[in-house]
Amino acid sequence: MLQTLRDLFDALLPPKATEPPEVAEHTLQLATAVLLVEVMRSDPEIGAAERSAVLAALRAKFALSADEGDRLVELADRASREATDYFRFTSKINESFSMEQKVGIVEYMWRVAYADGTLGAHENHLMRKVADLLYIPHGAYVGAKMRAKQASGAE
Amino acid sequence: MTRERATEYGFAATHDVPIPYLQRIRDYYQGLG
Repeated sequence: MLQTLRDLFDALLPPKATEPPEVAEHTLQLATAVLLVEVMRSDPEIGAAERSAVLAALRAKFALSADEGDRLVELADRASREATDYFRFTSKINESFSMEQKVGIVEYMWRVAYADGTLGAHENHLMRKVADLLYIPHGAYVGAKMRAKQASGAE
Repeated sequence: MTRERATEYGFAATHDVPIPYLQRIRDYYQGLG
């Protein structure tokens, strides 16, 4: 009985000790990409500007080639459509990234949100929710928003 | 496999599927326009 319970918990927990570093890095890239893709998908119609903003963010954050970026966005899009919560992605980011790096991700997300020049209600909701899950202080959250807004030239 | 047999062997019931919370939120905001 005890062995069965232990097997069950082992199956539920991520195999941290045995996970190769490249797998962990890929998981982290995918988690970040899913959050960016979620912002992109918040609008009823996905514009080219938003897709470019997602690719630019991923390439800047993880030094990916154009082809790698495309494949990562494609994977993230699939993961995003199958996801029922954000925690599975934000928990990976919380485990691996510093606060400064997490604020950087939030700023990239704001850039995607402002890529079309307007901020929708769903985008606003998503940003607030993800920032809470990443434990971003309110000042840093607003600072990232202002920088992204200024960079996009939105009113 | 019938529902009774599935329960007997410890499999999830047919209605026990992930609830699409994110899609519901998306539909709500898109409904607002």
